[in-house]
Amino acid sequence: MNFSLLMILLTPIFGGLLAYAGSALHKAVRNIFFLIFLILPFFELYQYANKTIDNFYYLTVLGQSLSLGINALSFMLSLLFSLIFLLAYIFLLFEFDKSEDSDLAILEFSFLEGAVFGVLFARDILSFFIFFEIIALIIFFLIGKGYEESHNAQLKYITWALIGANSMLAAVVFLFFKAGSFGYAEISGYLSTAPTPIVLITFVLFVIGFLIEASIMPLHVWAPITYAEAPDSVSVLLSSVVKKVGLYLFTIFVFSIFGLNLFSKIMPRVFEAPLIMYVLQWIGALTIIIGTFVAIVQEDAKKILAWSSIAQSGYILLGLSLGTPLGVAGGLLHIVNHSIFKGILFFVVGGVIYRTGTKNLSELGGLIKKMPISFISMLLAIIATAGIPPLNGFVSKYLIYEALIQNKEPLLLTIALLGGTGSFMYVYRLIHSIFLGQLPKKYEGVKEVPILMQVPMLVLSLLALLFGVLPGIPMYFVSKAEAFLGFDPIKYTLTGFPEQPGLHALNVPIISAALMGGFVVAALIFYLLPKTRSVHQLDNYYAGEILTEDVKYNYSFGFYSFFDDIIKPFNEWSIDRIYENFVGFVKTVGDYIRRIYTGNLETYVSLGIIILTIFSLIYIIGGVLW
Amino acid sequence: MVNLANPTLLVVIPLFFAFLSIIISPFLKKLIKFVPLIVSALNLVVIYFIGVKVLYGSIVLGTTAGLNPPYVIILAVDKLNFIIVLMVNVLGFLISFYNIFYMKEEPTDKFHILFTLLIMASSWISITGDLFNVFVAFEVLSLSSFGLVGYMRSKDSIEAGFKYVVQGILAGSLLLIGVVLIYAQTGTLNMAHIATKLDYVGSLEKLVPYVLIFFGLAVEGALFPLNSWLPDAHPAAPSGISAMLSGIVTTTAIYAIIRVTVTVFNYSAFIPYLFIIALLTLFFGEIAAFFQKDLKRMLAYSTIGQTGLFVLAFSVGTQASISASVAQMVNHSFSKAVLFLVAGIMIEAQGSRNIDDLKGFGRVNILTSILFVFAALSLIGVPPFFGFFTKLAILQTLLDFPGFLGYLSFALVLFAAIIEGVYFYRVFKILFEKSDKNFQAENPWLVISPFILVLILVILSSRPMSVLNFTNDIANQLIQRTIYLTSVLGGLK
Repeated sequence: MNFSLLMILLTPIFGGLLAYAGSALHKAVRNIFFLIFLILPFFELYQYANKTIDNFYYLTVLGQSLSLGINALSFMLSLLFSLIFLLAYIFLLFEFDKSEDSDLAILEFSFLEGAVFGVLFARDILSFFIFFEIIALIIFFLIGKGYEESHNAQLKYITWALIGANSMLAAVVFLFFKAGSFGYAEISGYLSTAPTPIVLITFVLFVIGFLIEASIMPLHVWAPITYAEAPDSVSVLLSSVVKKVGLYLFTIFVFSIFGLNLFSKIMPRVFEAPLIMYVLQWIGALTIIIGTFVAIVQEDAKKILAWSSIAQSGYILLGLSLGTPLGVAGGLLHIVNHSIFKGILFFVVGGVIYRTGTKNLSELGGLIKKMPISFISMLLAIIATAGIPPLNGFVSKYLIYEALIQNKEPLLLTIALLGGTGSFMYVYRLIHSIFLGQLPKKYEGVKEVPILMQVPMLVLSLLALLFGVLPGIPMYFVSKAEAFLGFDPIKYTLTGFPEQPGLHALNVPIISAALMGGFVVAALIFYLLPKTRSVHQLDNYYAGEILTEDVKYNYSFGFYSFFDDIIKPFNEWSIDRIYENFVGFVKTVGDYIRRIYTGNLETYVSLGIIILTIFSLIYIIGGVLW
Repeated sequence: MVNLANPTLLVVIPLFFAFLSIIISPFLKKLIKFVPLIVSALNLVVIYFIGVKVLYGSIVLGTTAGLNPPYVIILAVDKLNFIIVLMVNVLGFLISFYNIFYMKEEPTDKFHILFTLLIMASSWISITGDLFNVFVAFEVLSLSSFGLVGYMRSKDSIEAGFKYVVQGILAGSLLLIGVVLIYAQTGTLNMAHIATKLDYVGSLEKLVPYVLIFFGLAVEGALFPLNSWLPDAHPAAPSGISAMLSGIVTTTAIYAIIRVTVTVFNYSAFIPYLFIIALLTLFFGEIAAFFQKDLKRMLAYSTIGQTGLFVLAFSVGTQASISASVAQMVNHSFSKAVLFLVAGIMIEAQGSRNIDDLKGFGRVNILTSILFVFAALSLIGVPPFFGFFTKLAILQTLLDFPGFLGYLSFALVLFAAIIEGVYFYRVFKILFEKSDKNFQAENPWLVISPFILVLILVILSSRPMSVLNFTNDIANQLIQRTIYLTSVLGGLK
């Protein structure tokens, strides 16, 4: 059967509407309806596996036909996002099982998936904008179903989303005005001969929109609170899907529409990259370092993940903006890998919240025996986050490091490596505070999350392991995407990379085996040589006090206080504060401006007379205004 | 067989019913509330017959005394008139239906009679081809809306009514002086006739009456700095009236400005000034709306901002810009009417106009809140709603404006869109926030009108380009003045 792209796009929306109607009958009817419609896109996408379609017209606006299309990159991402939507949906059913909002949440969820497909399939600047706006609108409503502070988060999110949207809209309208067409190809053709200021201005306007959605510094202000306060399944979508949509658009626009050749033509090259790309590399690097350091000192489980997500998108931006085959491959691979491992982390934390009702790390601890499967999933995910073989995060970070070395950028490399160490610090904090240490008494009755809720974590964990040991599988898609973007795809094998310019040979199974061997040796030393004595958790003391069942020793508050002391001076000039001051200033000014409407008749009359006088003067003196 | 395609009927029917209801109101007080409904329904029938002809490109004329123009009062309907009068009567019909259930305190006969007059006056302005008629109709419109704004007789409604009266009378006198000056120079009041004769009038002699007429109309049209009655009048009036004032009265006034500027004066020298006035209107309106805590006052300031937006588009002066402006006018009228009607329901349910008191309203009355959300999204221009396509057309047309000012307005419109988005999204947030407050359930009869209006908006959203093509036809017909002039003055060869 032949499925058109529009049909794929409408499948989840249709399913959502059907499910919403089905919810009148029974919850199970609703759930199953929607589940079917979430699985369908996989089958529909199958036929597009090796195709590039550019012009499927579906609407005419301002005399221009809007079109959908699919290529290797959007195919890879739509496959990945379909999977994450499916898993997040399963999770959402449990998360909202007691809430009255579940029907509406499912409906919004379905529209979100449709809109995400829309952005991926869009082949013109208007369609992508339309779908992008719909994403922002739906995310706004989904966030509101979360924790107590979620309503503040909603407002912060939508303000930034609107800024991004209007910035992009300016570029869209401007380019349409100049080029006379919306299509990517025509815009690209126009830009290749456009004056430099137009290229730069529209590029910056677009990139602001994308990077806001990708929560890159200094446009990330909405992200921590939104990720932390949104419902857990929505946090997964925010981090693994919506952010990646922003980065996908960034990739498409930089390499396919504007093009590196255009940039190198109009600006000097620094470290083998056009100046603007070099600036973006530094923005990515700053995002890595600041995001990582702030993540380390958070006390809230979801805040850690939020900041970590910000930092990881810094890696992606850094990789992509290197503009070399190696860097782009690393960036694209990291898009896939980060979606997977950050998905696991949000799922596990969400499961812990589902069972314990708190996301405050200092109240948690010792859940390892109660929730072993969650623990193992998280263990895999944090290994991936820290970029240690044999999990998937290692391969993509390795590629980015190698690309930095190839471009001879020691400073950026140092920052990226530092970020890797830092990410180990915060993920260790996460797993320690939740699963290790001593179990508070109130959580003694906690059970593992329901089996269906384990499915999302386990599926993604398996994928993380699979893509880690056999990086050839994701690289199959990534290299095709790279070819689409106009690069020579880097060579790869199923288990790693052969020796090639700029990249040393890598065989992940062998490295993993070596690492495992190291662990075995360490374990042997630990268990065989000096006899350790295993004691009960309470057989311990703290500041001279003996621990009891009631007062347990759990050092998870201020875990990295020594580190906090180091970075505290820098907190003084945080970006949030700059924005807050700015907003305060704008509000004061606005408050004065609006007082022009005093509610007093005399003011209005005098205002009218003043304006009339000014206009008459202009008329008398100049005849016309200019 | 009576010729139903006669624009005169659009004025005569409401007037007849208004007088009839004054006579019968002592006996049949309860029935008066159906009068506006019947009137606008009858008008819609007439508009249908007119519309069939207008859509084929002809201009439908209605004369009064059996003489030929320009010696009689003439009513002329071209495509622009048609869409405005259609909007007036569709909104009039739905809002009067809403009013039947909204105005509970008997007796309501005076209210409904005034409302009939309001429909009559708005229809009259939208179809008249006579400059003096514009003045008379505006006086009728102002008098009926003074009464309606002050109808609640609370302290703030009387204050608002008073401010409105002062400015309305001022506007009326400016308009009258302008018309008189024109009459003194051309010896005629027929718009088309004036237009042909103005070619022989000097520039300053043309400018002064134009400016006077413009400022007279700008008061009802809510243009800065003459719009200060509006933020007081809208909140104080009953919600149906606010919807009518915002959706219809402002629109007809702006229509009159467009007609006078393009058809009568064919005036391009004033356009830069209009552009600046519109920019100021937009900017101050949106900024003021952002800081409001009162729901209806916020909507009122947003009306000012939106008016600024479509006057801004119009004042670029090209065909595309007039088209975009009319499309935005349609979008604004329908969506703002929904917002005010829904705000009325909300205020009735919670007993206060404060936005913060609405916390959790959407969890109880989901339909009302969804209507609010849809209308607001269309108003702020979020795709895929109709408002997005009109905003796109406006933005595109602003770049046509020569010089730096075009880019400035482009940026300012986007900035205003951010502000507008934020304050509407803030209301959405409050509507769906969790709270323990108990609200009355929505009155299903009240929801019908906004529901139908939102349905219209959704239909428009599904076919945005057919509307924009139609408004393009409108603009085309408007710009080619000679068609209008010759068909109105057909007998005057």
